[in-house]
Amino acid sequence: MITAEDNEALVRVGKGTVMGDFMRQFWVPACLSSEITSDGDPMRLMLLGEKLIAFRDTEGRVGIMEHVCPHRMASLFFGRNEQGGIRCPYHGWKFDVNGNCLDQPNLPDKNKYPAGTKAWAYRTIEQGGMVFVYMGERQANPPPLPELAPIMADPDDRNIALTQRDCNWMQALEGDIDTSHLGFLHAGTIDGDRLDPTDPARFTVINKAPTINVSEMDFGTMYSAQRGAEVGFEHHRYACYLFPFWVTYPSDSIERNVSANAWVPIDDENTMIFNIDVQRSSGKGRKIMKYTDGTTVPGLARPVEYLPRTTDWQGRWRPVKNSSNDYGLDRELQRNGGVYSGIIGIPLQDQAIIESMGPIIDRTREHLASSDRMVMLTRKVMLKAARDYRETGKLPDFLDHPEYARKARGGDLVVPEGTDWLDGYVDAMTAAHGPYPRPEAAE
Amino acid sequence: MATPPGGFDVVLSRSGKTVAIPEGKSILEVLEAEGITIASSCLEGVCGTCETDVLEGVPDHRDNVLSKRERESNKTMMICCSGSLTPVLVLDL
Repeated sequence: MITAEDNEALVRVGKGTVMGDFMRQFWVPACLSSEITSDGDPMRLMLLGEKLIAFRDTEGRVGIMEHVCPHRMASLFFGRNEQGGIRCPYHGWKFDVNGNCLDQPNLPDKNKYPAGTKAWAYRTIEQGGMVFVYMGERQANPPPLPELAPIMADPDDRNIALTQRDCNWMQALEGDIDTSHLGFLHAGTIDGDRLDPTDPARFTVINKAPTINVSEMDFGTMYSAQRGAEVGFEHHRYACYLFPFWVTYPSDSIERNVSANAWVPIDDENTMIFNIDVQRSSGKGRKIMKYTDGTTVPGLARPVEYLPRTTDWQGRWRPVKNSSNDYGLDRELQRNGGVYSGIIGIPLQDQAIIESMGPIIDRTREHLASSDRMVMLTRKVMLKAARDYRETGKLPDFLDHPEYARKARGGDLVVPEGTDWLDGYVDAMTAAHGPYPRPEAAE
Repeated sequence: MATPPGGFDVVLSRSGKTVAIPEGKSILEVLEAEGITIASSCLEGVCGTCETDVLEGVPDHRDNVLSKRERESNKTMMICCSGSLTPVLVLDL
């Protein structure tokens, strides 16, 4: 459990909240680059409880600004995206992507504001097939993007999956660093004896009670879930949390895995998941899990099927299978079909369980266990960082050291028994990518 | 649950307050009696919820959560069940 005060501080993200103000000092993934086209429809976008409008101008530049016109507060969603800016349909005032006022055509020349009237625009940048927005204090001099391998890669929409989850962002993120659920929710009825004995994922299936190693890092936190492997060896499954909402989750061997999730708050009770796995489109990554006899392990398949897109504040990337239809739960599949949850697909299994907790968990009532050490440490590190910012204005060094993110990867590794979990990680990464900076454990 | 290992002082670094932990009492229960709210759950050193940073002193670790390396670092402890090998522990509370 944590106190009610800590819970509130963790989950609320509106302007003026402890976590909301902290989060705004980092770049926030806003949407796919492909969701907005030059002179195309302006898109309603809600981030951290703020109602915004996103559009791409004639030259391809991206604008993200408060959705209302600064004149009489009409919504620019109804605006005309034309010739280098967005024009309010009410009186024709026009703004460029930086919020500069280009035209006030309803005013006689002598009454036009000399410098126009700025719309409330934020800084944006595009990278890796995504648009990022910076809603923080340093609008004139924003920090660099974190050098996370998945977002530094060449853009390919097939590698990026967005999904709305109807619950608080921290609840969703905690599901991503709760590693021991893997052996149950996703793999509870997989038969480990029928898997390829050399597949490291097998150990997560056959040993369901790992020891959890955790450490605070300069980018956030890191864990390994440690299990016995073949005689004389141990299996580690690594993942990292990076400020303010990134998780480099494990989906392949540590050498090959290049993946991350951003758990981006839409508001306090809704989250947009940005799931990036750069191996997905190339087919070089993890293959569909099969038994040694060639049959496919049931219940794991992607992708998520989406409802038709709407222009609503929350009309994008909503799964067809959702709480209204119990996520397609099939009791026969659960009893006898080899799918522990009875729900098809790892993302939907997570979606069902995390949403089932309600929009915001009452963390004063939970009973965390040693399996939850990563959750406990991450909350603590997050709260401390957010409160330090509130009290002293100081932000983590990571903000202006984007290279720290290069050290933060996830994945599976088998090492000789007794190997220190961080030494094993550094050695494997060095072997795969050349000299590798050691993550400095802050313990 | 083993007898809690009292008989030492705890200094709370943030307030500077010193609290005596008597024999038979855990750090956690004494601090809670003082009105200090600390996250905790199992009270038996198995869950890790009450993990607290140690700034000075050497804990007498009695939990089942910390790794060997974490114990030897003396930088963190579970205050629901662990005691002190030194007369004073300074905690980040």
